[in-house]
Amino acid sequence: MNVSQSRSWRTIILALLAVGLIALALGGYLAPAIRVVVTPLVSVQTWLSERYNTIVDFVTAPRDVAELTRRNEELEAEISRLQATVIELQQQNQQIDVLSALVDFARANPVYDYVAADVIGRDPSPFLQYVIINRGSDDGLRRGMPVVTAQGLVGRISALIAGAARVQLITDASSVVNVSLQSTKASAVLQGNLTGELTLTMIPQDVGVENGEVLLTSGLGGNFPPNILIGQVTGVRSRSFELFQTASVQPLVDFARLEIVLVVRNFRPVDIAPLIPEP
Amino acid sequence: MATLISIPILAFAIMLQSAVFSKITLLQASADLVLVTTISWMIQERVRVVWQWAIVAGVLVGFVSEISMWVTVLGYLAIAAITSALKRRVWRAPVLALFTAVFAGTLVLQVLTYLLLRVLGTALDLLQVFNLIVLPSLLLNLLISLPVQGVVREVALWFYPEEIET
Repeated sequence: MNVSQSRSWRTIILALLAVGLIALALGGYLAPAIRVVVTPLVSVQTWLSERYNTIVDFVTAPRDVAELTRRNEELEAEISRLQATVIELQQQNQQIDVLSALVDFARANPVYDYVAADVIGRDPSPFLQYVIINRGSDDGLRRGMPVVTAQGLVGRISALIAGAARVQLITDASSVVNVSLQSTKASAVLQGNLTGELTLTMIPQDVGVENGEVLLTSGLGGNFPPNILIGQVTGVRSRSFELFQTASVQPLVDFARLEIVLVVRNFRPVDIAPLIPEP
Repeated sequence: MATLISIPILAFAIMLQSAVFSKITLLQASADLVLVTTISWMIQERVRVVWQWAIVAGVLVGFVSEISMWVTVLGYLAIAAITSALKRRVWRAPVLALFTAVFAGTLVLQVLTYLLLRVLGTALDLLQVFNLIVLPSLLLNLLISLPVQGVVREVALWFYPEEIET
């Protein structure tokens, strides 16, 4: 009996103490005491947590780096592939532009039969302005056939083999083209130069030539078909004591960036040498 | 064998020349890879096959270029003669011999081409030729001569391995 009574009293006292402590805590009277006890515990907890995280990072980090490196390599490879695709598409786009222009030119001049050819090289000699194209006698090409682009006259075939041909550009120093001025229909002679420039000579003194005058092939001499665009006059030199005027000409074709050309296959140059009287 | 190998090597050189080097111009000139390759081969100390390379180079250049094949063959034979003479006389300074041969070879080819074109009736101003073609060609050929010589030397070592003294 005594034992059970003493247990009851102990329980009651503990309950009262608990209620009292709760009441004190709710009333905020225990806060300083709690702070004193909890602060070191929080510090210890923080330290433990940090150490744990450090250890976890140490154990797992190498795997992540390897994974990231692999992923990075994959992405870099993907970027390289996409960049290559972009460049390829840009090149195809440029080629389509050139081909579209050539098709437009062919449609605008349906009289002629064209063969498209890639420019694959240049003459090794710096004295000469010749290009090499990847079409030859197997494609029906013959010596002397004119070569054009959508912009205008390029030159003519000077030599060829089965699968390739050499084209003399109109800018070559030994090139001579008979031309006519578009507005006056006056005839003149266009000569190439070592510098790759074009000079118009044999312009009669009584013909008025203005800057911007358009030049076309005249067809005289039988080397080129008539009415193919060549370029524009950029400067005229006229001296009263000379028989003829001369002019500098800006070609419409960019000879430094020739990539694709058209060979006029159904034009055969006429050899007029037998018709020229011998002195 | 050293003669036969000249055909693929010089053919590759002329393809590079036509497709790439001719498009990289300084004024109106471009580096002459075939000329420099041929001279670099001829200038190698142990190389004995010289004239054959000159003929192959001349024929190949004459085939690709509008310049007459006779002129190119003649030019390369003259270059072979100059290079052989230089190799005998300046054998202690191969780099000097190389530069001298490239200098002389460039001049020989340019002068022959100029004379041919003049004979054929092409109007060429000598001063313009000198300023726009000869001088820049000399500079470009001298610039590429050392790297080309390095490559050609490795090829020459396959056919003429260095003797090991025991």
